Amino acid sequence: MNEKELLAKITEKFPAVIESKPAAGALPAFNLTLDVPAASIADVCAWLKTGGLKFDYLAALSGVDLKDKLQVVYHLYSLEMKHKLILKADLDRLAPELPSVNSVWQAANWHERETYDMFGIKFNGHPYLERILTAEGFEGYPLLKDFIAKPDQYD
Amino acid sequence: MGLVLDKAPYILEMMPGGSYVVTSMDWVINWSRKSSLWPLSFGLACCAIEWMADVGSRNDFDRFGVFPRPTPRQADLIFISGTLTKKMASRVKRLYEQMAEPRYVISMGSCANSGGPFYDSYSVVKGVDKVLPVDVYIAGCPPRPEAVLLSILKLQEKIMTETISGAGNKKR
Repeated sequence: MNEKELLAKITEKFPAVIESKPAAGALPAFNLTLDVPAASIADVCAWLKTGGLKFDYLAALSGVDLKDKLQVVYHLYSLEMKHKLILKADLDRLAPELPSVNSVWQAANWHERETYDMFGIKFNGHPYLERILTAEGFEGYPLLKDFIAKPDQYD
Repeated sequence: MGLVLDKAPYILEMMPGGSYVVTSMDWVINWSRKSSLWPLSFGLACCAIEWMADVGSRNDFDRFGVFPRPTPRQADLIFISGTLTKKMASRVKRLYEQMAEPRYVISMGSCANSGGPFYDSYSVVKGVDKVLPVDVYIAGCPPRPEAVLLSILKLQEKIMTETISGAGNKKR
């Protein structure tokens, strides 16, 4: 299935989903990239997996700090139909939260925990949203642009 | 061994000519220690790969009696080979504490020496000497096998200067 057909099928089901335009001066993405409203990300993902497009593989789930907003990026792949898709969900920087896709892909569990650990993005409905990488008692979210490391006994 | 090393030097040094015995014992004890430095089979990052090359047949640490042990309770020496993260620091300290004395630490590579390229990171210890007492530092990123061999020779030199008599006995 080519990108145009993919886009048409998705926007037919979810009119709020639009194709993402690359920022000025940025290279275009290699794959079809969609902007998804954060609140509907779990519904969109559930439909993408079960609704005929068969996106059965969550290749990556990561966060981005764009200074004026936070973003969660989902890289999807269909092992059966061999097509790829990128989803982007923009979040409010002060209260970043969106629904978890853990119920759609189990792989999202640790990815969402890492994104929470690094950016403080809250994934509602996650079964165990705790820090995964940083040391015990770590304060702050290290991949935020305004993060300043607090010196401890190892500095 | 405890009685010999802790009590004998004081008793011997009070006797005429006893220092002779102490220094001769020093030589034998130090020689036996330096000739069978058993490091812990332990690695942290890419330096550990380089360290494995040293243990392998081409560089062959076994020539110097350096033979990796799988448990800290049998090890005299620990190579901190790679980036020490803050999360790992307490674990490394525990491994060190489980080693029998006398025990030695070699800091291998830029990361272990000072944090290296991760100096400004929020998660990396800025030098393993914040956590453990280091005997020998090896420069390099990663150090060449020859440099690691040299660190063993330097540590052996250092061990040969130790003494079981009171003043120099701080190390243990």
